[in-house]
Amino acid sequence: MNHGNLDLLNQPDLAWKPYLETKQPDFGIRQAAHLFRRAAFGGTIDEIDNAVAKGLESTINDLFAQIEDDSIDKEMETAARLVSGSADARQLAAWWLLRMVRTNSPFVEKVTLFWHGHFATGAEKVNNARAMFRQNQLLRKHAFGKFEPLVKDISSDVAMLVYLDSEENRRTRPNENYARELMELFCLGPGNYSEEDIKEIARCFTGWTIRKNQFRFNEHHHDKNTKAFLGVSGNYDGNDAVSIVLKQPAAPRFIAKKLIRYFVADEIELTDRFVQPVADRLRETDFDIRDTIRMILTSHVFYSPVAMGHKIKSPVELTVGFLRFFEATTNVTLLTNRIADLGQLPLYPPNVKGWNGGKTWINASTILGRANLTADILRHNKTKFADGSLKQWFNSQARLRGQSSEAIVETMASYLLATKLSESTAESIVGLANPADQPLESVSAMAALPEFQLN
Amino acid sequence: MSQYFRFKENSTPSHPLRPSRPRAGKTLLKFVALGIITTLLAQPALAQQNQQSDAADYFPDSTAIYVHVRKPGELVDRIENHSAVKRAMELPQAQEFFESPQFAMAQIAQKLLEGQLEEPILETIKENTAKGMWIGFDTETNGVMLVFRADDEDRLKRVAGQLLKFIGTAAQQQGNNVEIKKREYRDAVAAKVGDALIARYKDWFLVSNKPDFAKSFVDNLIDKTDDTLANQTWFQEQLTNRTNADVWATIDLETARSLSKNEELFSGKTNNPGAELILGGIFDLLKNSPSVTAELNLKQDIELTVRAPFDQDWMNESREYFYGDKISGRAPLSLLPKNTIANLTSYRDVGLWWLSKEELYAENVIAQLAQTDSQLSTIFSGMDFGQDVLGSLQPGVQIVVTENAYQGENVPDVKVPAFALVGKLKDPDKLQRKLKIAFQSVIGFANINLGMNGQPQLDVETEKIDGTKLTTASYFIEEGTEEGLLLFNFAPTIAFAGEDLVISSNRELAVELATLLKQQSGNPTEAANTKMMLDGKMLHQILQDNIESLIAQNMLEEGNDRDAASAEIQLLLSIVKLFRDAKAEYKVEPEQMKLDVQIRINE
Repeated sequence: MNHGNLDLLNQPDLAWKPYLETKQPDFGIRQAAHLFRRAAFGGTIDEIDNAVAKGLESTINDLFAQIEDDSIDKEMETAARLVSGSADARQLAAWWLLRMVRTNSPFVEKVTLFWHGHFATGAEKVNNARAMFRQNQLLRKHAFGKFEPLVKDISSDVAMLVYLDSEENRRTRPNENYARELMELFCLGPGNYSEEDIKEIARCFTGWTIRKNQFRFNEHHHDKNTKAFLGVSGNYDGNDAVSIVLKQPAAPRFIAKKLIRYFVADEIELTDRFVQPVADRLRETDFDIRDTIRMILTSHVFYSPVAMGHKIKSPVELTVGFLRFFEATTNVTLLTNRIADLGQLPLYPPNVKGWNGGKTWINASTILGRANLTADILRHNKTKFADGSLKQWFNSQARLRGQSSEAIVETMASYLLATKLSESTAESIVGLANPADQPLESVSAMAALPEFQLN
Repeated sequence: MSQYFRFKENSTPSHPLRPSRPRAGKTLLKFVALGIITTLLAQPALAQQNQQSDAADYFPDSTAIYVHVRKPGELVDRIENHSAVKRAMELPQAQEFFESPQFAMAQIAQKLLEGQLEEPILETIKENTAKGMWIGFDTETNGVMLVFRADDEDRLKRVAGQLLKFIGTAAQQQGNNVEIKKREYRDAVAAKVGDALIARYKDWFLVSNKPDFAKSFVDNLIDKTDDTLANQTWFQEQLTNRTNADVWATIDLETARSLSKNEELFSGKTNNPGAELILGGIFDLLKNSPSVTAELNLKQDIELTVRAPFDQDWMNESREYFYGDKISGRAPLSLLPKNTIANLTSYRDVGLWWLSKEELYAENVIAQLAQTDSQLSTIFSGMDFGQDVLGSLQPGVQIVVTENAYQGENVPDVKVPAFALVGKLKDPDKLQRKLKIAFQSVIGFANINLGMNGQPQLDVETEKIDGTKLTTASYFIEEGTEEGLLLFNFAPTIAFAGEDLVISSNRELAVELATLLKQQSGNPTEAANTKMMLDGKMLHQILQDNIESLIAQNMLEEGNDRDAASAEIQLLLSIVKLFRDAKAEYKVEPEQMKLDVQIRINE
C-alpha cells in the first residue's frame, strides 16, 4: 500500500499538529467523508455536506456531543434484554449490529467496537448472552473515559473472568491467563514484562471469581502475601496491579499505537518516535481516551495521504457504513450470519487477540463475499432505503436528482469512496446502467469496486 | 362486427384435434371398470352439464388441473360483507393504508378503468362471471387459462373491448413494451397481449399464457368435440364426488407424476424423519392415487375438504406405524385442558416407526438415526431408545400445548407455552420405574451442563396426586439469580397414571392431563387418523404475552425501529384476533383419504 507523504511519519510534531493550524487545511467533501468513515462508519450525503458547511472544529464538536446522546438506549434496551435471555449470543450480535445501523451516536458504537476488539471476549466460551451484554454496556460506558477505570472494570467483568479462566484463579493454584493478557494484549505489549511479573500479577487477581453471574471477591482464595513485579513490591490486589501496569512507560505507547492503527492506518510502521506525542498526551491526561481520540481526529496526519484511503474496511464497517450511507435497514439477523462468513461476527472474536484487521480482511474468498453481500443487501426484500426503495432514495437526494449519469457516479464516488475513482472505472459504471433508472445495478457495481473496500 | 380491428390470420382451425392422450398404464383395472360405469351413469348428467356449459366440456383432454368457482359474484359479495373483512377494514393500519399515496394511485387506476368500462369494477366481475369461472392447466402446452362465462353476451362484448383498450392505453402511458395484436380466430375475437392471449367467443371469455391452449378451448367450443376433459375417465370419476362447493378443484395426479421434476414428492418416500412421521401415509397416496379433489366453501367460516382415492394395496408395509393394522389406526381422543392453544392427536406407533427406519429412509438418514439411537440410549441409562423407550408405548400419541403457568417471581421474559406428550404404556408395571430412572438420568445430564455454565440447576421431586405418580424437575432459584431467563419456562415432569404416560414441560400441565385421562373410560379414540386444533383466542393471548419479544424479533429481522416494529406486531395481533379456531382431520378409509380443514372466524 502506498502511503504517500511518508515524510509525516518521520516528523511526529508536524504529523500530530492540529490540522487547522497547518498551512492550508482543506475540509471539503473528501475530508469530511473520511472523518465520518473513520469515526462513525461513514456519513450520509447530508451529514457530509453539513460537516463541510460547518467546518472541522464544529463537526468534531458535534461528533463528541454524540457521546451524551442516549436516545438509542431507550429504543434498544428492552430488545437487548429479550435477545440475551438464553446462552446463545448470536441474536445479541445481531442486536448490536442493528444498534450500529440505527443509532444517532455511531461514533460511540465505533469506539465501543474498538474496545471489543481490544478486550476481545468470545461469546462461544462465555456461553452467557447476558454477561456478554453487560460487557458490551461496560465498554460503551467507558468508551471515551479514562483507560484505568476501564481496565479495572473489565478485570472484574463476568464475561472476561470466564473467557480468561480467572474464576479459577486461586492462591493455591494461580491461573496466569488474565495476568499475561493484561500485559501482553491489554496494556503493555510483548517485551515489556517478564514471566515472573506474570506469575506475581496472577497472584494479585487470586480470589476474583463469579458467584450467581456476578463478580465476587473471595477473600479465602486470595493470596494476601507480598507480590513483587515491575519493580515494586507489596500486598497488592488486582486493582493495584492494574494501576502499577499502567504506570509503565510502555503503557501509553501501546494504547496510542492501537488507537492510531484503528483510526489512522493499518499497515504503516509505527515507530516509538512517531507515536510519542500521542503517548505523551495519554500520560498527561491520565489516559483520557476522549481527549486522545480528539487529538488523532483533528491531527494533520489524519487528513494526510498517510491516513486517507489507507485502511481496509472490516466486514462490520463495510456493511454498517453501506447501510448508513443509504439510510437503509435490512434483516440484521441474516446480515450477522453473512458478516460472520466474512470473518467478523461481533461478540465472537477468533481469539483473545481479537481480529487482526488490515490486509487480513481481504482474500480471494472474502473479496467476492463482500461484493455479493452488498449486492444481496440491495436486493433483499427486507431492505428499505429511508423507508422506501433505492430509486426513491436516489430521487430524494438533492445532490443526485436530475443529474446526468456521469455526474451521479462522480458525486456518489466522492461521498462513498475513500479514493478517487479513475475515469475509466467511472465510465464503465456509467456504461453498465443509468444510475437514476437502475440505481441497484450502479450501486452494486460501485460497492464491488476495490476502492469501496478502503476506509 | 366486433369493435376490434379484425384481420384474417391463418383461418385453418387447429382441429382435427389432437388424439386423446394415452394414459399412463398404472391405473388399476378397478378404476377402469369404475370409470366405465361412472361414464355410463354420468352421461345424462354430462348432457345436462353441456346445457349448463361447464368449461370441462371444452378444456382439452390434456388438462390436468381443473378449478371451478361456481358463483364468483356471490363469493365476492360474501367476502366483501364478511364480518372479518369489515373489521379488518376498520383497523388503524387499514385506515392508514386507505390514506396512503399508493392507495390513492390504485383508486385513480380503478376510476380510470371503471370510466372505460362504464360501470363499477365489482359489478363487471359479478355480471360477466354470472355463469361461472374456471381455471385450467394444460400439460401439452404447459398453459394456464382463466375462463369465465357471462349471462349477457352483448355486455361481455362491450366490456372485453373496453378492457383491451384500457390495457393498451395503460401500457402506452407507462411506456411498457406490451405489444397488443388483435386477432380473429374462427368465430372468436382475440387479442394477443405480450405472450398472453385474450379471447371472447359468444358469452365466453378466456385469458391464457399459451395461445394454443386457448385455441384448443375455442375449437372445442365451436366443434363440440369429444376430446375434452369432461370425457376423461379420471375426471368423470371425480365428478361423482362433486358438490356445490364455492370452489371445486381436481388434479390428475397420474399426469402430475409423469411431468413433475420433483422426484422425491412422488417417490412414496421422504428422507426427512419429521415429515415421514407426520405425513408418511400421504407419500403413498402421492405415489399411487390417480387424482385428488378439493372443495372450498367460504361462508362465515372457511371449509376445505381434500379427497383422494386410496387402496390398501398401495400402502408401504413399513408404514403400518402410520395407518395401523388394516388401516384401522385411530387417533387418541383429544385432550383439551384449560387454556389449550393447540392439540395434535394422531395414530402413530412410534416404536414401530423407529424400528422401520431401515425400510423408510436412505442410508445416510439411517446412519444418522442409528447415531441418535446410540446417544439417546446412553442418556436413557442404557435402555435401547427404539425398542425399550419408544417401543414401550402403545400406538397413538398426542401433543398438547397450553398457556404456561408461572409461579412466584421467576417469570421469563420470553414466555414459551407449556407443552406435553401423552401416550400409553404397553406394560406399565414393568416400564414406569425404568422410565422414571431414565428421566432422572436425563435431568442428571442436564444438571452437569447447567452447573458447568453457572446456570440454576434442576431439583427432582416425586409426589403422588390422586393415584398419579409425578416426578418433577424444577429449577432451584437462589436469590441473585439472573431475572427473566428462558429456562424459567420449564419444570420438566413425567407422570404415570396406570398405563397413561405424560411427559410435560411443566408440572401443572402434567397434573391436569393426568386428571383428564382418568376421567376417560377405556381408550376412546377419534374417528380420524390424525386430528389437530388451534385456538385463536389463546394464540392471541400467547402473542400478546410475548409482545415485547416479538417487537425485538421484528426489529432484528425487518430492520425496523421500535415504533414501526410495534405497529407491525399490533397488526399481526389484530389479524389473529379475527380468527376463532382452526381444526383439521385426516381420515384414512378403505377407498379414500380425506382431509377436512375448518377455519372459524370470529363473528
